[in-house]
Amino acid sequence: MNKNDYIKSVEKIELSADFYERTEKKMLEAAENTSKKKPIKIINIAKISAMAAGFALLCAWTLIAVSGNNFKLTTETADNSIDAVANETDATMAAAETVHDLLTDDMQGAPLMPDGMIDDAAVENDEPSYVDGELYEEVTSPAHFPDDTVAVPQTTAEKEFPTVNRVDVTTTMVTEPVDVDGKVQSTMVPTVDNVPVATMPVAYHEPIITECGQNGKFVVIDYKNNSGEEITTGYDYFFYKVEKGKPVMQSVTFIEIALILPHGADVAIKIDTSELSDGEYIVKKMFPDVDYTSEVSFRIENGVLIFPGK
Amino acid sequence: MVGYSLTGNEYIKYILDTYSKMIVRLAFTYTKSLCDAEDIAQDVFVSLIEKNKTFENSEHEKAWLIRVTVNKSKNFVKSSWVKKTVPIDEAMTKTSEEKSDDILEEVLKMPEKYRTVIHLFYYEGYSINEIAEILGKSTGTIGTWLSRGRKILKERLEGGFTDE
Repeated sequence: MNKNDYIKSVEKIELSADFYERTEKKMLEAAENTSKKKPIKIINIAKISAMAAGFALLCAWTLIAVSGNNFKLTTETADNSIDAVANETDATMAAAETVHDLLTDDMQGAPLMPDGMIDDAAVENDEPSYVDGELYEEVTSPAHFPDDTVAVPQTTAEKEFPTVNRVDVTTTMVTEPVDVDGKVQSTMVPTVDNVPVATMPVAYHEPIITECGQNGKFVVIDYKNNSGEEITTGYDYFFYKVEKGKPVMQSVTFIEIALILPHGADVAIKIDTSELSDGEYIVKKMFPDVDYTSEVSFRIENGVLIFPGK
Repeated sequence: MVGYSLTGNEYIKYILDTYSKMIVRLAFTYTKSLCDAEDIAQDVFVSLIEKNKTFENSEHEKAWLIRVTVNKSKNFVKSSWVKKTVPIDEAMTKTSEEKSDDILEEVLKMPEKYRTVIHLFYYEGYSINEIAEILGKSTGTIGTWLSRGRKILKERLEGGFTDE
């Protein structure tokens, strides 16, 4: 057999007769709903800059005026000074109102791209709020931190992790069965430096941690699946601490933990818990552009790393 | 940019005509169910409209759609609903009699990552580098997965498996 046989077999997968009709209808609905949504405002940067400069000038002018009047208090009569200050204040208020009106008008009349298209850069700049929204929902879900937790001994990770790009993870079988995608299987407990570290619950999928682009090095991974096959990969990750129910991006140097995944892949990450205060944490890989995220959640209590129960 | 010269309705028709089969077939390699694959495809198309995406060219457009399809398929496969459901294996019932279909059966039995790489490599004709870019993996990883996938096929298929 060869690739042509594969192509032939795939091409026998035919779509339902009404697929096009159903899908077209849904797409048209989506287009209609999208056009009804409030469009992202694209502000004229030049206009805003000019207004900002004007506002700054106005503030400077006000300061000068006020300080000038204060000076006058020492040299002129009190009545004259008070009148002068009142006049300046009126002028300042009027100017501020004008700036406010201009700003408001500009926001309301922000130009859109032709045909209602939204500028890509504007969408990308809007990512943080999307991310926060996603994370907030997920963090507050009780599934992330079930009652049964497993205390994980800290590894012997070096505090500094200068140029290490890979952590060797050896695995050993344990007798406990684990529900993996509906099938009961034996699980493997990963170790780092021969220290067993953690078992991830089934609820977590593909938390593949490597480099944290914005927050320092998270390097890693070299992990093995249940067949003992070694798999390597690489992604940018973001590291958050959950504060008052919301994720706050952290700056950490390195993290080391080891996980076992429902698909049978063991993942090693390094966490130096001495860098972290007590609380809940999330390491999240985000591809908002393509609707996909994966994450690892854990918490630290009294300096001890704790994962949700298995 | 793709689609800019088309009106909304024309663009939808263009997208459906051009990519429906590709997306459904790719999703099928995850779901093993035509209905689910079609649902995912619908979802992908709706995302495309909702996000108002603009693309540099048709390759960019196709790559985005593949990536979103893969991600939505993964999310679907790992959803709790799927885990609690025993799927009717449409592939088996449809294709058990013909020789060329044995290969699809075998591909569908492979681990998810191998299935995707095999499909994108042999069916869509992407190179290892392109697959790596689309899936956000290193070329080394994709090469390894492809090699292991081929090895599995060679072992499992009667008469082996060749690239030609």
